[in-house]
Amino acid sequence: MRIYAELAKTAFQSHITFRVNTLIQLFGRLIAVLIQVSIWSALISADRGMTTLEGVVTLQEMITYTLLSTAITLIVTNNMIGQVEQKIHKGEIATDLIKPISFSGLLISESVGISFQRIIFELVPVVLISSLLFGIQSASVVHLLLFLVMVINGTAIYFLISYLFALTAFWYIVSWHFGALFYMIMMVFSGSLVPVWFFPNALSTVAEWLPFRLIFYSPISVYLGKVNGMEIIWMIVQQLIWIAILLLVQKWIWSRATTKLVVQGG
Amino acid sequence: MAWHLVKLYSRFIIAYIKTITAYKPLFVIMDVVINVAFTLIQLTVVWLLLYRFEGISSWSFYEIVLLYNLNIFSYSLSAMFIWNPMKDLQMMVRDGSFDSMLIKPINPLLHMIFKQFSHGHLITVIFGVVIFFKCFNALHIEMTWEWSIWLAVNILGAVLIHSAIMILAGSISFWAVKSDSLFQMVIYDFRTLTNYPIQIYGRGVQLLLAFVIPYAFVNYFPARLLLDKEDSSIFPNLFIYGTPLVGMISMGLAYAVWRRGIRRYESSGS
Repeated sequence: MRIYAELAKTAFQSHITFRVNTLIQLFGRLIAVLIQVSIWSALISADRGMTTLEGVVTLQEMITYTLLSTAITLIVTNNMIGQVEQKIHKGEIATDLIKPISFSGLLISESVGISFQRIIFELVPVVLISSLLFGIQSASVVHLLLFLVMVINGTAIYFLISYLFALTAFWYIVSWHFGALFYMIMMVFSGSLVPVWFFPNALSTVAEWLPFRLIFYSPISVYLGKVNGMEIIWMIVQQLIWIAILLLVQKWIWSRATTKLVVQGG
Repeated sequence: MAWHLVKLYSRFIIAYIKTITAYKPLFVIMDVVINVAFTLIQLTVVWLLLYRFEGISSWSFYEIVLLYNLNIFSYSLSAMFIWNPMKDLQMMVRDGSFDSMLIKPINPLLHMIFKQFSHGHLITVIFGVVIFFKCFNALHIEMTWEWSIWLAVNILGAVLIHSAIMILAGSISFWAVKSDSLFQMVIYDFRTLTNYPIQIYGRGVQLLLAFVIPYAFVNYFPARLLLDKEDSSIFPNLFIYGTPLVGMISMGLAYAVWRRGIRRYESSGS
């Protein structure tokens, strides 16, 4: 366990050196938040809100939704697909495989380290600045705690899915293609930009059967108090089921990947 | 002179196509899929946004698609030639390989443009034509001669604006060692602001997009001209004819900065 903590620390430290870059990235995030908030302000009338099947959604709720979605993006995002591709291109993968630690453990530690860097230098300032600018709705302590638990589960789901896509590089050598597709499909069906309650019925059924909404839409609905007790428990159970399924698939693919590995020039 | 350049460029392109065919066909197919999917997904998000709403402040779905497409189409048309050179410039300046551009008997900017070609952006351009015609159809636009000329002139102006911004953002490398995140911000983050009609933003952002980084002239003003649309932005109506002029001015400015950058590079002796 100590080794993994050290790996996370190294990844954290190597990413805090580029200060100006971080500042500019921060600015870019704020622009993205500004776009989303401006769109919702143009769409939803400030006093009446918008009536949906889930009840009335107010402008303030949508602004909060946007901020929380940005926060979750900053927590869950990782560059694993690019990293594994690099390792395979350069042949580093060979030395990684003979290390006395698991490959997935190595990747988890690194992305946790980078996530911490992003939480401190991007998430905290973005959420602070944008809640000062646009306002954020507060939640009850219970809802906030449930939200945090669900975000952690969601991070695990996101990690496992991107890990599976990263492993395609063992067969296909490049994996950013699949990575980009995964990212695009997730962007739509996770509700990270448009909440599922605004979806047409057919598409919300599709979203129901995919794990992506459990990363963004479900935790945020809990924070906003849009779902009640039993539904929350069912959402968390669904998260755990998906984690279990993805763990099994990951194990199976990993055992095949190591026998299939193509190292360029090796 | 011009004919000579065309001949030269076709030589470069043939060499480039040869390098692509060395890849597996699956990679090339995936390139096409990804580029088309990217545009489709972006439009799906707009469609989802508007599914339960009538439109974004008087702009209907297809009007926003046209707005979006004017932006992405002219961007890709310009990026096809200029994106790779400007992205690589930082590296070339840092490791000194930019030297080799200066000793060739051809303008360094032209040479950088000629020696590559971004086929991913070409796919977006082709797909963009499809989307244009879908929009014209859905919006019942009558494509008269006069209207088509306005469309062409505005796209040309928009391409000049995108190219100018890319050259300016790339030229930062001559002065700053690490400029890629600034490059990213100007090219990606600011550009996405204009995927929606700019009057949804506050005064400050509107002024920024009209006068500092003139992305509003890439799609917002042309779209209003082409759709004959009244709108509540803070600018005088005359602005809707401004794109060709703004394009030429920004390109002139960008080229001047580029020239200064090269002179600085030479004098630093690196």
